[in-house]
Amino acid sequence: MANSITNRQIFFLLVMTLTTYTTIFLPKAMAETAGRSSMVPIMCSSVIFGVVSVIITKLNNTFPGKVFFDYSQEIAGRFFSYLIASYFMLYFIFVGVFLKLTFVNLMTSNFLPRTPRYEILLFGILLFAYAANKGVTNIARMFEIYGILFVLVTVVTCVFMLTEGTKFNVLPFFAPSDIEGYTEAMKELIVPFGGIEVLLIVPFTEKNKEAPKIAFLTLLFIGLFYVLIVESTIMILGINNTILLNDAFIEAIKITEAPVIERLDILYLTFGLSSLFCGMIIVFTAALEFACRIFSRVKRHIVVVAIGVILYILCLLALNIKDIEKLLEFFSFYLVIISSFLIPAAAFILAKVKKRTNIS
Amino acid sequence: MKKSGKIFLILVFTLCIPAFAAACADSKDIHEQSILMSICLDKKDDEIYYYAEIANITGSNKDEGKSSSADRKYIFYYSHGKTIHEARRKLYMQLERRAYYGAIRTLILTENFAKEHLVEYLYRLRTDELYRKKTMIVITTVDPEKLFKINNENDISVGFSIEEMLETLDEEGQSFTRTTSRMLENLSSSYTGFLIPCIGLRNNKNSLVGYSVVNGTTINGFIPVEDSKALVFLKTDKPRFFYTVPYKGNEFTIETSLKKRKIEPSYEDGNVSFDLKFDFEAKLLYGDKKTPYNFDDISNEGVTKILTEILKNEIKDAVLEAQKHFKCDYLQFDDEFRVKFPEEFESMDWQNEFPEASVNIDVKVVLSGSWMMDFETDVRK
Repeated sequence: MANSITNRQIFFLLVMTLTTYTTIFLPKAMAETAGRSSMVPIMCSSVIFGVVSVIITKLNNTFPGKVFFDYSQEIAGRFFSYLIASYFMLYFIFVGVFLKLTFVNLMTSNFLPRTPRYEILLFGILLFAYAANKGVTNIARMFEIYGILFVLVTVVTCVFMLTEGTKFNVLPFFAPSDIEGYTEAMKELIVPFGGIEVLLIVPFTEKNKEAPKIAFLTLLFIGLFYVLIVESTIMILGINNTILLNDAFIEAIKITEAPVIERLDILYLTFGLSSLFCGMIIVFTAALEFACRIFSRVKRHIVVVAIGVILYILCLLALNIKDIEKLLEFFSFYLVIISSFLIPAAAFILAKVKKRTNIS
Repeated sequence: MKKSGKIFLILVFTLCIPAFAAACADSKDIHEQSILMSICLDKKDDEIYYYAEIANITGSNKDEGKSSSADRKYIFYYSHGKTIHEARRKLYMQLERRAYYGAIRTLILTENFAKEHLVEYLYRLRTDELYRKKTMIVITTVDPEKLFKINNENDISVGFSIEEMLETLDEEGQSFTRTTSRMLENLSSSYTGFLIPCIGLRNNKNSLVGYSVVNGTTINGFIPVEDSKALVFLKTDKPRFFYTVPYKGNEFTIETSLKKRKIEPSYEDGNVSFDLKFDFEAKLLYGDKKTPYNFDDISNEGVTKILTEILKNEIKDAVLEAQKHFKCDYLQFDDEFRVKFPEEFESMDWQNEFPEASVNIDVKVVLSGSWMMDFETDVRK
């Protein structure tokens, strides 16, 4: 089937979407809250979100060949389906603005300090719009290639960091005084594990029967991946430096020496940041897919341009608002809970109830 | 492809061109930049002196206003001002091209400067995204102008020379280096005590002359390199030194390598103590008398005992110096204690606890001959 993806593509779709912005901000967030015991809340969150991913994949499996917008009409009726689709479209545009601002700030502060931010933004949006126009199946194929490179380069980079780092920076792995920070850490982890909802724009087929199991294992893998990133960053920078630096992971890479590779940070910029690009592409695609269904009479490429222009204008406005990232982060927390958990869980329960009602 | 798709593609690529061009705002050809190899900061007469060594990549440059050695591989500039940024700004006024900080090999601070501005400058380095983050930091006891002039006359880069020398000594187990991030982490922790390699001139050549002791936020001491063997045993993983052991009229030269070091903290009744265990591997290389030595098991036992005592005393003196003389835990025992007793460490003032901690030292030496020599034989023809 042309409009479908394989289980392996589901794995990479989840990895690339969830890790979008996390690699950059997670070490600081974890060091600040759970300290050296970060691996406990990370793994607990990965299990919780693993269950969420099972709910979404089971929901998709209940309606093979259909995306959320289509089957939500069967579950909740036409009005609610349009309402939820509009919510998701606005939600993904919101996430898109958040990610693009992060991307621009990251590029400006680490690699291109003299390049105007609006130019980086323009270039980024054009690229993401072009990729999103190709549709979710093509994007999933692209993620498969980028995903392998991203995971490989990041893991290798982290291994170099672990071998070069100081063990005292991460020890002890568990301190009783850190327990009180676990709740705060789990709250901080909601956004890094958010993004599973992109599966709602993917139509599942017969070959995705194993998807719930794959999705759960993927979330466990992502948990371990986050642990590796956080621990290796703290090993290089130390806990206090990690707390102070917003882009601690990149700063740690800049310090790490690797054999043959003189500039490990440039290697990471090339491959490691592909998750950030992929995340922005999938978010654009998700907003586009929902918009295309809401405005089904408008041609796809016109919707692409419209979303691109809206995103660009919103980003330019957001660039001039003080502390906008903190504000967006605050809203992201609630929006991720609604989008990743509450809406899919409600739809899942409704679908099960309807199914039982129909049987009886 | 549909017409609309083609128009969309053309639009995308047309808009991409200015975007690509704009990204070039950060691009600058190498010959359009002043590439800094090392920076040195000094404090004299209440003024900050800022020295910079710049790679002369454009070749001969004999314009006025530069040092007389401007036709060499490296040119050095200096400026001074009331504050660091004022001194830096004055230096910029001398440069023809934009300063590039991404290649700095070594950051040299004089003792006078470091005593007052160590924290300020290291924090500046952490914040400045243009600075090379792997830059090595050293202290110098020499007047920077002399240091740069002598190196410049020899056509040697101070930055590269010091970096390579320290890296080689570290690899050979003769010294130790500390990354800037580790210094910054130590400076940001509740307790701060560490050592910074100190560079001087010996026979007009750059040389490691010792270690400067950083206690809190300032420098409060100096350990000469001659007295630092035990320090290296305490701080690095594979140190290796030569010892001369007198035994029955012969002076045996023995290569001594550290195989294993274990630092075990304990905390009982409010008292901190450490058990230090060292396993050394020693190789008899030669003596100063004629062979054969008939170096049998009894001789081996005797020499081992003397060497063990030497090592034990050196380590004991090094620990006592840190505890009683400098009252500073640059040995990083605080890390060992914190890992085992995190809660207790949080509630104690390590500055007061460390000098009072009791330390037990256990040294084991296994002495053998080198594989290619048989010193046990008593045969002479």
